[in-house]
Amino acid sequence: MPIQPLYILSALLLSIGLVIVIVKRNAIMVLMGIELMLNAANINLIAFNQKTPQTLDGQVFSLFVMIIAVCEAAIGLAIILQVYRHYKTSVPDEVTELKG
Amino acid sequence: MSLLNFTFYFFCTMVAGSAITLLFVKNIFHAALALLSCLLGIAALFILCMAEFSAVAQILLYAGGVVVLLIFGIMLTNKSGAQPIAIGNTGIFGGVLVGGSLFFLMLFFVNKSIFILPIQKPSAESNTIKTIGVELLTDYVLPFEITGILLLAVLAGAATIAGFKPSKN
Amino acid sequence: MQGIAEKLEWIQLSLGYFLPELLLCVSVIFLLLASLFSKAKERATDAFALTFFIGAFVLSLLQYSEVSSTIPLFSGMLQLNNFSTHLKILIDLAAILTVLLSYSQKERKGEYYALIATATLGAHLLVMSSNLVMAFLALELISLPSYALAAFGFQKKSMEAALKYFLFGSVASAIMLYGMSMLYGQTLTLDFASSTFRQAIFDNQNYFLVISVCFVLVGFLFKMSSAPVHPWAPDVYEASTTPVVAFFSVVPKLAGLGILIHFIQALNLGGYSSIRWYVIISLIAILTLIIGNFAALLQKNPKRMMAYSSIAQSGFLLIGAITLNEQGIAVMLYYATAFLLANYLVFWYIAYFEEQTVVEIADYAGVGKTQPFASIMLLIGLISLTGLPPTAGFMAKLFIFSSLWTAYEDSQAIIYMMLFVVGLLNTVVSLFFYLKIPYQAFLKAESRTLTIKKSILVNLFGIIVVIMLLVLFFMPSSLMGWLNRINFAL
Repeated sequence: MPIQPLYILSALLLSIGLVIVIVKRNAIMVLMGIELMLNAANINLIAFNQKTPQTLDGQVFSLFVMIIAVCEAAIGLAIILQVYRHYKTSVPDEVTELKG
Repeated sequence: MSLLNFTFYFFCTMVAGSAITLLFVKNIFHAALALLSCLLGIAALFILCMAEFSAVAQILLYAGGVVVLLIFGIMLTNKSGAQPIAIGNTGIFGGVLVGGSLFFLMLFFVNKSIFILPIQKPSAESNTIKTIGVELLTDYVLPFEITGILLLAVLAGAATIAGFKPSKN
Repeated sequence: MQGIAEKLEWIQLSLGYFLPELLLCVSVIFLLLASLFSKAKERATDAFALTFFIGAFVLSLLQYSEVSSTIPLFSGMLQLNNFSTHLKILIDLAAILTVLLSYSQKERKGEYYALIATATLGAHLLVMSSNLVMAFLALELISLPSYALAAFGFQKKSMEAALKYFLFGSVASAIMLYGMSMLYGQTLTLDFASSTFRQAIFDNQNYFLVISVCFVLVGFLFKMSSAPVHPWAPDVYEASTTPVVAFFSVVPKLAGLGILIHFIQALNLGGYSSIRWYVIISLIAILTLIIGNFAALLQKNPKRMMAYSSIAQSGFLLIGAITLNEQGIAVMLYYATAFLLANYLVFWYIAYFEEQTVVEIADYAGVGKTQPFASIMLLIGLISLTGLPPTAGFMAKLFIFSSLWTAYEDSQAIIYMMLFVVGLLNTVVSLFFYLKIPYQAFLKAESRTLTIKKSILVNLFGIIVVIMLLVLFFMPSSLMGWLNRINFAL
């Protein structure tokens, strides 16, 4: 498949992920934005891997990325749950005991 | 336009559309569903790029793992039940400015020669899953084994944090 | 398929050079299991963790004398050389000191040490990485346990700090990953020590490469808590427990520095690169120094101040990465050693005073009269961080600046001169915030009486570290001779 449209798509996903991270006020929503950003990198890896079909470096890398994404989601949700337990909210902006 | 091309652009549009939906949706549960459709679309694109194994892993790990985890998270932090969590926005101007400029910066390079795929015949001989299996246990054996340690540590860490009950005083 | 036998043989050979890391892997599993069976015996867990880290330290030390040139391991996933071995020794030393400092940690000891061991393992792998997959994985191996460790105070504030750390860190690593995917697109290889990679970099000297590399650097600089990705540091430092903070301020920083130097070294193409990477690193270093030192002036909490201090120190460490010659690297490692010792000394006594409910800088008023010994120890640590004689910090700063001056005379690059001036200026500025605590302690009158806990162990440790700092000042050749053995050719 042509790489150019995939590259545009991945750039779009990266940008949307970043916008979600900056704009959205819910920690779980921010987590979704991060997942989008990781997926953007995965699309790039798989797309570029088509140029060297004999070695599958890009595909193997994408597998590791997926595993890391799952780990991040697990740790992130554990922290979000505890924050919710203490602050009764999962909105990062309302969690303001520390200044800055 | 061949059927293959049509499918490719269809899924591209689907992924882009769901990602944009994610940006505008107000209900967090709907957001999770939009993310799911985005991830499944990406899995379809992986298959079109001859990466079957990654596509299967994408469906299993993302759709089956991450999205389910996220939905659990949504339900656990939303005990009031009937009222869905509305997602507020903050700093829209700055966010859109950063994201938009990043996108156009990336778009600026789209005509580079590295994005041109050399014409090649897909060989029927190639067996992706077998190659990945061999690579994971030869060249990538160290990352593969280290991932095991990482999963163990993350499991222990997440369970410790989530399961910790503050003593009542 | 005939290559498989050779690859398996390579893996087998590599295991012989992988003993410290194997020991750390075993320790992660063992500590988790031990926490299941011996809930009551906290001191036993301490002892196990200490033994494992000392073991890893000794094995790394043995490796240092064994390794003379660069050895690729595991099909080029890792590269073992003296530079990475020295960083590994420092990382293990930091882990040992963290265990000693953790005597006050009460909750969940087994998991706590297992997470520290995982992060240490990640740091070991990161300084040896020569492949993007390995670098990403090792970086996450430090990050994910760190997010969990930040929450290990189990208080309201530490949960908030962990959340901020997690969100910031995940975004940084996602951006780094995107940069890696773009680098892969340009080079079609993930092994950044290989000749394929260098050839492709040589052919693609353009802005796209610069942007990809900047994306990758975001992740590495995040680990070093260097500007512009530093804002997580003050909150995390303020809210997490002191041993964890001491760990964060040294181990990820050294690991990030190690991979940064390897990576820039690969991109520099032995000086044939037409893109001047040292300009980018210099600008980052200047920004880091200015933000770290000037923001530290405003702080009222000692741990928050130490956060900005650690940001500023990573600016000085980056100067070692700029010159990219053996002299510069040796000097940088000397600086890292002095920084590690002084930093742990300061955190050790911050924890000591914290136990007496001395939390803010203003609370230190008068402790110099009631507890002169501890206050003097703290003063020596802070003096070393500032870079005043008679401590190792002075020699370290002297070496760093003289190596930078040599680099300026060689290349006449104006950016080196700017860095030199900014560095000197910031050393003066740092005097004002580092001496805030001693000022309160020695010159202010006591505001309240504290219950003093006599602790021989704490002071014994303090004396040992102070002696090391003094030895490094009076006999810098003792360490420099050892460091000059480093053969820094990738």
